[in-house]
Amino acid sequence: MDDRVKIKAGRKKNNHIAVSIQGEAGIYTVKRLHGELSKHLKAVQSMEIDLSGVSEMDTAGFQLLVALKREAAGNGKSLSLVGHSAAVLRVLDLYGAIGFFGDRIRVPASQRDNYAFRYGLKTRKRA
Amino acid sequence: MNLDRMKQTYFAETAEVLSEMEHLLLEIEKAPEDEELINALFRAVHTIKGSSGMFGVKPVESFTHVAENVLDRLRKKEIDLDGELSAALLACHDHITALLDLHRKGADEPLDEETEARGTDLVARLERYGAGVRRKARPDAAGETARALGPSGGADEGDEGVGSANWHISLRFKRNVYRNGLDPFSFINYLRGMGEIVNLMTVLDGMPPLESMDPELCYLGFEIDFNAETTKEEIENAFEFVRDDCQIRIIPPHGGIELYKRLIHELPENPMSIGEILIESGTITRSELDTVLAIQSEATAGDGEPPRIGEIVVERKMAAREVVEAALEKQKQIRAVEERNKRSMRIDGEKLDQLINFVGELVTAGENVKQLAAQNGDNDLMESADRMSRLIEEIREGAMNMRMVQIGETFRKFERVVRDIGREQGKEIDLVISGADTELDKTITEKISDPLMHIVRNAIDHGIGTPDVRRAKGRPARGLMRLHAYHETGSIVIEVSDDGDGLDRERIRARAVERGLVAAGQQLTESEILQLIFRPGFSTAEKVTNISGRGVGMDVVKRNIESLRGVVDVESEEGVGTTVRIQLPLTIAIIDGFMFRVGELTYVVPLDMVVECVEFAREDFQGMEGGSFMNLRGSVLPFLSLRDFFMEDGEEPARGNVIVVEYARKRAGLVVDKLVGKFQTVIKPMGKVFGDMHWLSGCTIMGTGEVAYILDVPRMILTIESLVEREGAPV
Amino acid sequence: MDEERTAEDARKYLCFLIGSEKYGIDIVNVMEIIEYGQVTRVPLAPQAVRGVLNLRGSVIPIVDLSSRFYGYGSGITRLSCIVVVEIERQEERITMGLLIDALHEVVDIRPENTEQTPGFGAKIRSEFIQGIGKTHGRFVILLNLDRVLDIEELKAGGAASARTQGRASSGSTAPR
Repeated sequence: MDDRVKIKAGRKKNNHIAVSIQGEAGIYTVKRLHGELSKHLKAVQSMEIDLSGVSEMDTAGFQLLVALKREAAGNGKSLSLVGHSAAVLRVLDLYGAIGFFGDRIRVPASQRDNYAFRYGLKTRKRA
Repeated sequence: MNLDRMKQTYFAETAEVLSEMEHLLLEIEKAPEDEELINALFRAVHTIKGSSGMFGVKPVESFTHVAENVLDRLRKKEIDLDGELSAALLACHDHITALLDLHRKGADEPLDEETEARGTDLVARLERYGAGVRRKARPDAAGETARALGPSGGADEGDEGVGSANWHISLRFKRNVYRNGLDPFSFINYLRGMGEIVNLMTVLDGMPPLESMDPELCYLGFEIDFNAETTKEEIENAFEFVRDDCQIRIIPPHGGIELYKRLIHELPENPMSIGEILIESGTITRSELDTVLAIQSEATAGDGEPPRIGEIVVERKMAAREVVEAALEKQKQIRAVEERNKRSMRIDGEKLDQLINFVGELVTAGENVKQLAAQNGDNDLMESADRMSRLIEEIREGAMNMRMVQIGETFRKFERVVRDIGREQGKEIDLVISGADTELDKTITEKISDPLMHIVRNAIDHGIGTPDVRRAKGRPARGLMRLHAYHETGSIVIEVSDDGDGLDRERIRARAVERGLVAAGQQLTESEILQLIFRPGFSTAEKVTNISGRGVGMDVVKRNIESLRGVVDVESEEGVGTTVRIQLPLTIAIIDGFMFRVGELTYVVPLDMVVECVEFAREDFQGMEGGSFMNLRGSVLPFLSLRDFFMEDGEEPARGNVIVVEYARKRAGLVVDKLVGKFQTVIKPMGKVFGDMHWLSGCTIMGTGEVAYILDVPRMILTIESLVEREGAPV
Repeated sequence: MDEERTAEDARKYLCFLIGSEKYGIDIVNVMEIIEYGQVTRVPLAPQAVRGVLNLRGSVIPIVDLSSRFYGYGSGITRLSCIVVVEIERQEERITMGLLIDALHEVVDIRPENTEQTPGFGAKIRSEFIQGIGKTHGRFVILLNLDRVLDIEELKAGGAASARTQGRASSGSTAPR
């Protein structure tokens, strides 16, 4: 169970923390992710989540990211996602959530056609 | 866990709405023309339907839907309310209540035959009023879930131009969908193989804050504009596997006004601006909305009122008026709900208990500070301790207030009881409620409901006669029942009165003798005879006379009330009526106490039961250790020495004090060693081991950390009474 | 907490003295152990109930095991302790304090080293005994807390409650 996902947290510094997720972000791991990520977010003013190691993501995993983002925004904190893996991107893309998160995304030109990047999720772009 | 809690909220809220619904139905019987009442009734039923749908309580949702249709017609004056319909609607109320109960017991169990039959029967009754129900072909088929809004059923009137050229798919997944191993992603992604997802909106309105969400539950909804050469069936098939875990609504290209209207009404989410609603409904596109918004800001720039978005949309003929109206209506409803929510909010009872606990600790800590300050003799410190104390008292009152609810809702339940039982027995009874806004602790209202029911039933069963009997006695044919509440010395009094024949004392006495409760020749006062009805063993199953049945369960009633530290009393005059009076403490957590010492121990009595304190010399009481009467400024007062009662050895102080206490209009004196004074008392339970010690109602922790005992004054008064009564009346 | 070499199925018991007898209770019931102090007497309380204790804001009854077992109360010494235990009864958790004469030790006792019935005459009622455990070649009486702390029995126990009842009538007859 436990080796489905690894959550690594860097050192807290200047009220900021960088966390990375390696493995699955889905229904089997979302409870743990929810627990740990909320705990980290609670303790800092800004948090960065590295998603480059995410091998699988489903709607539950996506929903958790949305909840984290809303929690951060609601408390005047910043939450940024970096290093979106392909597994993450295809979910964010289908759900039209790229704009919602407002993070910079790097996609190799060769893969660009795989994504629609079109519609928005409630709010289009964050100012 | 979380879903459970939300479901609890659903049950609680629906129960409230149901009680509201019942109340409205009864009111409407009295005033059938009142449009407001009918509107309110419609809203109540609509709410039940909506929330049941949200929580996937299908039987309730689909049944309520039928009732809602009828009410809608009623509201639009397409049909009239007659006695039959109002009876049917009351029956609907009961049926919904029963369905909810069943669901609570076992969500997935199929309905039993009786309930099923009752439901079918009711639907048939309602159909006469044009409920317009599609009869369920297969009652247990899972097909129900996919409620596609297809262009069938003559809903679409010629309204070309409304709606886009795309399919509109509205998805609301059930909470459990992930846990059932299904990922909405795969289903939506599958659509891509069939056509183009032009637009997809993820709806987050149902999502709780991070902390309280259960990440394994699904809170998301999706509004999808889909461009494809396909059929409704094919789209439905794409969601075949998730059918049971998803509500899917499909509007075909150029779907028509009615469909959009319905969609807007059916979507569970709140508050989105009308523009968002229109977009999500696929009525207009975002760019169309942008145009609209641009126009609006132009209009604002000029002078005069900016036109509302809805109006602009209509003007530009981007949407038909009816669709906009539906959206506006929905927005209005959401606003109304929000307004109400702002005024009052639902708090988890556990959280409130926790808060009260903390306040309790704070009170204790505050008393401690005050005591230390007094010991130190530091004036400034004493002053700030005093100020803090006053603030704490206010916090305490505020916290306790949050638990206070009006008794009205409890009373209201009896409207139906009185009406139904009265009818059953061919009696005509009016119920008059007064003092409905009298407040008391919520915990107490919950526990007082059953005893009240007993008393009310008894009064209807046996107090009030049938119209014929009443007329024969020269009394008005309609009987009168009264539920009345008011505050009195730190307690709430609830009176249940009827204008029946009153209790027949001779019969009560005869029965008591027959049951061996009193000796045949025993002298009894009027009130003592009446009190006999509360004695265990007085009641009887046979209901031969007016009197015998009245005793049914009265001993139980009395016990329940006493367990709340209350008392119950009955007054009755033959030929005039009977009044049962219940007196209950207002709260059960923190009270203002009066503290005193006996021997080396400290005790508390509730301050509002203390009438006065009198100092006296021991020798005045010589020869009357157990308890007797004392002369208090000319009036006779029964008293008890607590030193004797508690069997304290030790040296008696030369001078003592009498605390005069009063409860339920009875007074007694408690002889104590030393008065300490007023004390904010947080009542703590004492543990079951002490359950047999009737003088004790709990304990509290003093500022020093020591424990003080709270006397059960009502019981003490009764004890003293019984002690002195055996001594004989004073001369 | 330093011995981890015992077999996994051994249970831990807290052992203590009541009078000269050694008793053990399953450690899962033990919440904490505190020095004896600040126990407030409850007037007219059942005999085996020594009083109540303010345990960080909760008021818990203190049961005098000596009184419960032998019919006479413990004398308080500097070794006297209160063992706070929690038992579950009808889905309700009940917290009580046990007054004991002295703490002894925590021992591991494997089920095979427990005898179901006492092999010798114990000083206390047999239904209070869950079994006899053997440890380091010595015996310890393992208590059945559910029975020892039976609420109904504690309530009725001793002359105290009879006294409360009798009080009502003696009050009126005494002056005569």
